[in-house]
Amino acid sequence: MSSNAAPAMPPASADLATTWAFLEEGVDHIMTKLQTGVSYSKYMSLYTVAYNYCTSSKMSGASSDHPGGLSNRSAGANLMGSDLYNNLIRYFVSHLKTLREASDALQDEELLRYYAREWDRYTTGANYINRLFTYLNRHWVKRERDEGRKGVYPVYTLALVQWKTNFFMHVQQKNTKLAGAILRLIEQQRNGETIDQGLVKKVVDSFVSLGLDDTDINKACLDVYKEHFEVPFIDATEKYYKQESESFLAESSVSDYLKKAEERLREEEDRVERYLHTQTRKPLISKCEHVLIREHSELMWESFQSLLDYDKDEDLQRMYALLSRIPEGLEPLRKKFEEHVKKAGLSAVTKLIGEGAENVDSLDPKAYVDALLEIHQKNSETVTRSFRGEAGFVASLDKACREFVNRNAATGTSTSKSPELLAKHADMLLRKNNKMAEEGDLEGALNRVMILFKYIEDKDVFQTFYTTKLSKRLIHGVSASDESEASMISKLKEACGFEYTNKLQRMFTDMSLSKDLTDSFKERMQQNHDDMDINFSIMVLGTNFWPLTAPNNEFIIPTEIQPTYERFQKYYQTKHSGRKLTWLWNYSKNELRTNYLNQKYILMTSSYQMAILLQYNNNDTLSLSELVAATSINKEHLTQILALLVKAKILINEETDQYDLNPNFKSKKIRVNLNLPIKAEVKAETTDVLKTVDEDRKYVIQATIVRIMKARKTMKNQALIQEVISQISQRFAPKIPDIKKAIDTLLEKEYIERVEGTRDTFAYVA
Amino acid sequence: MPATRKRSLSPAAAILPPPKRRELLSNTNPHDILRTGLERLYDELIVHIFSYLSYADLCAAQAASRNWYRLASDNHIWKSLYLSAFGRTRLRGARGFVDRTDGREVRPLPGRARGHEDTKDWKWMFRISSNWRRGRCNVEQLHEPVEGDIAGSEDNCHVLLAGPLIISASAQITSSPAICIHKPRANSDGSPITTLSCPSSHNSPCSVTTLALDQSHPQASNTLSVVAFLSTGEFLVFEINHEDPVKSIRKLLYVPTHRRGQQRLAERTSPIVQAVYHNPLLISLSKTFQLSIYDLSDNGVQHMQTLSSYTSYPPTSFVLSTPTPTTYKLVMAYAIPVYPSHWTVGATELIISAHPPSSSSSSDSSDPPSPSSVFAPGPLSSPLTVVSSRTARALDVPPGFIDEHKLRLMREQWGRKVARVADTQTDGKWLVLAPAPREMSFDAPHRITSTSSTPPLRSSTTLQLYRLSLPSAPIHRPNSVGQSKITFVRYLEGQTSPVCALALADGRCVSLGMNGSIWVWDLENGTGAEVAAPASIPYHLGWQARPGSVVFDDRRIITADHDGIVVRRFDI
Amino acid sequence: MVLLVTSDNEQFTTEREIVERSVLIKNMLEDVGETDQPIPLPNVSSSVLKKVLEYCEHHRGEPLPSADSDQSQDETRKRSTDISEWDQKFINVDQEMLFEIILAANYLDIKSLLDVGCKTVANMIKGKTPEEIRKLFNIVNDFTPEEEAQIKKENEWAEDR
Repeated sequence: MSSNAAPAMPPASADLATTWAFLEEGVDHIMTKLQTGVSYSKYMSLYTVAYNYCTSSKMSGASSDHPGGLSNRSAGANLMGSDLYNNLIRYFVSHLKTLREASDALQDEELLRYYAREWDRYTTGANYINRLFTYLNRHWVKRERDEGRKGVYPVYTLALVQWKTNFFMHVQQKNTKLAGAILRLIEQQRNGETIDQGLVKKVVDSFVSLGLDDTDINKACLDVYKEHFEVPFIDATEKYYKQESESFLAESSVSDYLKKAEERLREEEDRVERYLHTQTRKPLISKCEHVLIREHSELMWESFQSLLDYDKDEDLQRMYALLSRIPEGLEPLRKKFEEHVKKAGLSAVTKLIGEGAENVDSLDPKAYVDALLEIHQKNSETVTRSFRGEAGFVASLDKACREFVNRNAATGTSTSKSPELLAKHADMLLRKNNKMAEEGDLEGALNRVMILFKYIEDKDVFQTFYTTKLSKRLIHGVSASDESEASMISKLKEACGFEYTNKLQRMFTDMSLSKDLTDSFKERMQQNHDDMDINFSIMVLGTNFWPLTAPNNEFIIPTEIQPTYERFQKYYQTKHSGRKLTWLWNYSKNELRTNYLNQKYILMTSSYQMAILLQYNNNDTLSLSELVAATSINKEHLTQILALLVKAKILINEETDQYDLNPNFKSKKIRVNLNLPIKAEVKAETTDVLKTVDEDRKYVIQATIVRIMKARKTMKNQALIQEVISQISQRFAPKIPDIKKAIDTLLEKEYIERVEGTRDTFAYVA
Repeated sequence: MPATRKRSLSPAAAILPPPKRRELLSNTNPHDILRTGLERLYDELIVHIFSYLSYADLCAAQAASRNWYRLASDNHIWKSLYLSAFGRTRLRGARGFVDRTDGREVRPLPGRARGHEDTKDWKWMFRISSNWRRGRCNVEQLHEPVEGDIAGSEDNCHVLLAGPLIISASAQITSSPAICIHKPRANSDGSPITTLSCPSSHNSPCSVTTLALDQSHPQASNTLSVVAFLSTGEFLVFEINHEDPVKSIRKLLYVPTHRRGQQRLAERTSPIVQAVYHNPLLISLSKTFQLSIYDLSDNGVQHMQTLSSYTSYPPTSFVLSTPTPTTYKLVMAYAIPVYPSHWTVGATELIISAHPPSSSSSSDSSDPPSPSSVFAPGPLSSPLTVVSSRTARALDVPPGFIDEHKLRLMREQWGRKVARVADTQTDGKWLVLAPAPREMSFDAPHRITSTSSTPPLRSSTTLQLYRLSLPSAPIHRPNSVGQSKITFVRYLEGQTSPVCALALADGRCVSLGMNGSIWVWDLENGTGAEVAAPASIPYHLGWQARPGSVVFDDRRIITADHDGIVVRRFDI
Repeated sequence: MVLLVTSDNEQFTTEREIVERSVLIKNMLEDVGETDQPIPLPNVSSSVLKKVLEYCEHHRGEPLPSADSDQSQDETRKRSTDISEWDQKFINVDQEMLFEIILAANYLDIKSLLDVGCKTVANMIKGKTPEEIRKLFNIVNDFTPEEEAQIKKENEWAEDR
């Protein structure tokens, strides 16, 4: 009507030739000159003519007035369409032949532009045609497909199939001209040139569209894309980066290469985002990782050490990020890192004690602990910053720290040195008048102790030292604060459990009970006696919880304190009958007022000093043997105590074995502390502690064996040892000879027995 | 001018057929276009209208006019109608034929194939299935040339369906036992096309005790093998030409020989009550429940293994399938005694190594059998021997003490025990139990006689349907499988006399009543239909038991009882 | 607004939303774009188009069936011949008009209307004998007596229900 150039619409009864002539003109218009527009009347007439043809079945049905038409075989609806369908195929074939011929002379980007332009035009046109022939799709095509006919598709799909066979494949057959052109463009982009990414995307998308799943045409199928683009693309990528990375490394440092590789990987990720199918991401990235990282991983591993040595954090980060992308890439780094930390720790200790280990004995616990902590701190930061706190590196750090904390130049072969030093350091921190406490960072310092504590293998040694030190702090009242003590105990409890800190907590309980006891005793005494001129306070400490030993020497209680002594004994027995009190004179403290001097001094003494000095209430001069007789302190010990008093000028020792009271004693301070430790006692302390530990260990090992054997009934020697080690290692690292010794002991005591006829199997004796 | 079928002119890729439209139009009366009324509607529109009709309306529409006949025959309409009514893409059929991997799938014999799957005649399929559902069939009597009179005989008549053929053998003791081959319709008088004699080597009167049809892929397109067992313990293998049965031949005769170290020959072979054959594997079961496995490859017979059971009794049912190329799977259903005087059913699955064995399967075959095995296989297993077995029973008494919930379940199970088992059949998935009244003397379990006064059981005319679950296992570890069990599904009620024989395949069950009535059951839907009414004489307790047998395939039911062999056809 | 021109040259002006019940017109408007050109409908007469537009107006705004609704619908729903009350009244027309509506719905690609039409015809056929069907639709019996007997025999199975 409005389109005067078009031929008139044929009538509904028109034959195929007339019908197709009309349709072909319209189809060609749409496929080649769509930009000039289609009028409604043109559209409707094309639809109507196609519709009329497809619905002309009535006539063929009506024409069959033949007898015998009842046969089942020819039953069913007659659907029109195959002629139209075949004509469409014919049209597409010849249309595409023209397109193909026009492309023959084109190359590279020019070819891509042509292809993309024609693809746009073609698919837009085919969409139109598909809708114009919608009736054909709905009935004839659907029935053909329902009946399983291969090679029949809805018109749009048909157009794509034809494009693929008659255009796409022809171009590709010439040395994969199309894919080659895309790959060359991508290479240009990799070389830093600017390319038309939209063009690449359009062509690549067409590859995706051309995939067809014959059984379900609505399903996406990537076979064309994969075969014609992805596979060659991945190959080209490999080649490109292999060449690039090799020549780059030949000229540049590993640090620069790390930057380069990181950048390249990011670029390729972007590429997928910009113009490739998302499914290509996986093969592309894994290929790049292989070529860029895996192929050069040896080199990266080798240069790791120098990056560590020079603290190149950024490079370390980069190397970590890259190597973490490939399987097994980080393992060598972890090993090297562990070795690195260990070395650093060991050399820090060596530096501290001097080359010839000359300072081992005078090693300051604080300096030692600080040196260890510094190494840990530094490398822990490296792990967090450069290795993103990755668990494998954390494990390497822990392993290295455990190693150098327990075995270094200061410890030698002793496994108790580190726990001892750490416990001493903790003691120092928790004592009154410690600088740390004043700075208010005591809590922080204790936390740092815990960092090292975590690495200590012989935690029982630490425990014993700590207990001893704590008891001293408590007895002598030199603890910085109850709060800090409690905080430290709770940290230890968190790390090692209730069992570990049980004793420590009991010690605190005893302390507070003793305070109450002293108060109530005083009160009672004030009620009953008025002759109390002695100020008395008492600590009653549970034997099992305190690392204290009763004096092994005799001691005659001076008459001056005898009544108090007896009253308290009696008082305590009435409160807790049946309990035995052992008096630890060696831990007691006394204060004496002087009356024999012009100036009144207060002498702070030990019980032994007190006993000696009290003798001078009656005499001014006493011989050694008289003092021995009066105090019962053995001669050797007494001599040492006397030496201290002489040194303090309280006594004068002018003739052998004779000690006189110094009537001219003078001191700047009113309170004179005479209660100084004797050298021998200091040394004895460490040895005592270690002895205690050894005893404890023997007991722990035996108890563990018995517990295991009770549960398992019989066990082989090797398995038993393994089990013991695994159960105890939380507290300390048991030595195999010790375990064997324990087994022998238990065999002797008949807790266990050898199974008859075997050499290495034990059985539990119930 | 012939009516052109335009849809046959579809293009094959780019090869274009010549256009026919012009020729067609030139012969068309132009006035045809000016039709009025319904005639104006296009084929696709009428087909659309017809797609809303029922099968009966479609048949009425077919009879309206030539054009409507054509359109109402449209295969697409009938396909969707068939699928909505029967929910499957093939006919239900008998078991026992080619390529049944799951133990149920049935395909026609080569000579019977109706063309490719794509060109099924859905209307025809609908018709048969509808006839089955409603029990509509026609009846045809076959004649059996036998000495004497079968009627009143204690013995049964054995019938097999093999494609178009019906193979039967009388269980009568005779001096010349034979099997008969019928091809109904070929001979209108119902007498057999040919008979094949089954001579015993002993030259003494004997009878055929059971038949088995080869399920394997036939080697030649027109032959199939049948095994006939004799009461002497011998068996014969025939090669039957199903295109021309007269050309059938006897392939071999097996005479069992006693060998040292083997179980007692008599128990193993006499009489064989059940057999199944998938070349080269032949499995036979004797009345004393000895299961024997034979290797029939290379036209020879090699006895491979014999297993025994002391907890299972006839009647039995076999389903043999080949779940993998290296194994056979035999599912058997049988009667199990319930202490003190009742019966229920059980099922056992045996996995049998195939021939030749792959190296991997031979190592597996040394696995010990599961403790629940009914049969105890020998210590050594080679090809064509049992590698594993598992069992489930419908009444499982839990050991020890049980709680209320279990007790209730137990009571339900207990209530389903029966006085006697007339027949039990399985298709590998379903299991049907037909009880028999206690008074009947029967070729059924009879070892336990008791006068205990148990309360009356559910009517002995009621069938019990069970679901058999044998969860499949990774084949390399046949003993690692999940729980096998038999679950009661429902009662099948309708028949007015006790049932004497059952046939079961593919979710369909056919039961033959002692009064001659036949019912067809759709096991999935639980629906039943009477195909044959009871004979005029009503069933009563004093009746002489009427042994009978029944088989069916996708379009026929064959029953054999004292009235002879009757064919009921549903493809009408 | 959209201008429609019927085969007998009558013009109808209607809203796009109404006329887009026709997938044909909907697709065309999408493809070509909206202009003020008239849309010729060479296969539809004015009397039928009037009826069809009445249907479209009533059902405006309802969702159109998707392309693959054929597969997604289950068999029973597809086979149901239920028709809504309004549609029943609407389709209560003489046979000629009923067939015209079916043809127009088919041409214009209005699936729901096509279904209503076809269901109506199916309901007319249901339960009738062949003779009744012939009478209802004015169909000439063009079978030979032999053929008729053959068909009767062939469909015997469906009769006794």
